[in-house]
Amino acid sequence: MSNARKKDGDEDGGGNVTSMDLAREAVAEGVEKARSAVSHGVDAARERMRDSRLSARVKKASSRAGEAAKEGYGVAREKLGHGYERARKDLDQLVGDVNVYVRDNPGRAVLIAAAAGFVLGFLLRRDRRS
Amino acid sequence: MTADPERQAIEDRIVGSLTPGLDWVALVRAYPLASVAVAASVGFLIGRARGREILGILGDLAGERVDESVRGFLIR
Repeated sequence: MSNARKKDGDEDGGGNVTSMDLAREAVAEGVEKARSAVSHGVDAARERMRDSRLSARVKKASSRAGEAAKEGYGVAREKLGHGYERARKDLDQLVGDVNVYVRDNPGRAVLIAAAAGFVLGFLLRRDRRS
Repeated sequence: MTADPERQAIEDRIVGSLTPGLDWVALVRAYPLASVAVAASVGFLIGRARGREILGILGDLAGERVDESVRGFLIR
């Protein structure tokens, strides 16, 4: 009898073991899925955090670059303005000097201008080029 | 810069002979830059169109002058 029970137990146990195994497998699969999902979530969260840090850095760097560009633009504009003013003053002075010289020496100024034009025209004439 | 009056008179006479019947001095004094630009433009056009002939004539004249001077010096 004991042998028969044992057999039954073995059979029953074998049937129970199979269902237990299935249950275990199902649980293990569920745990694995859950672990994987958690791991994915953690990775995604990490990545987002990294992205947010990176974007914050990029924002900071871009704002710094923008400020530097603004400052450089301002300096360049100021320098250009100074240079333009100086060039304008020099040109005004030159024009004033030329006016004074021409009014003082009209004949000479006209002759010098004509001679300069003549030399330039002679140097740039067509038959010379060909 | 003060110009030599004699030289200035010669220059004025040259320009006056090139612009007969025109008060060019008043014109140049009224419009100095424009006058200079016009003179340069006219010189440019003449130099481009007749530059070689004019320089040839001037060279011949200069040669004749030098020749006359040398002859006069030798005759003395």
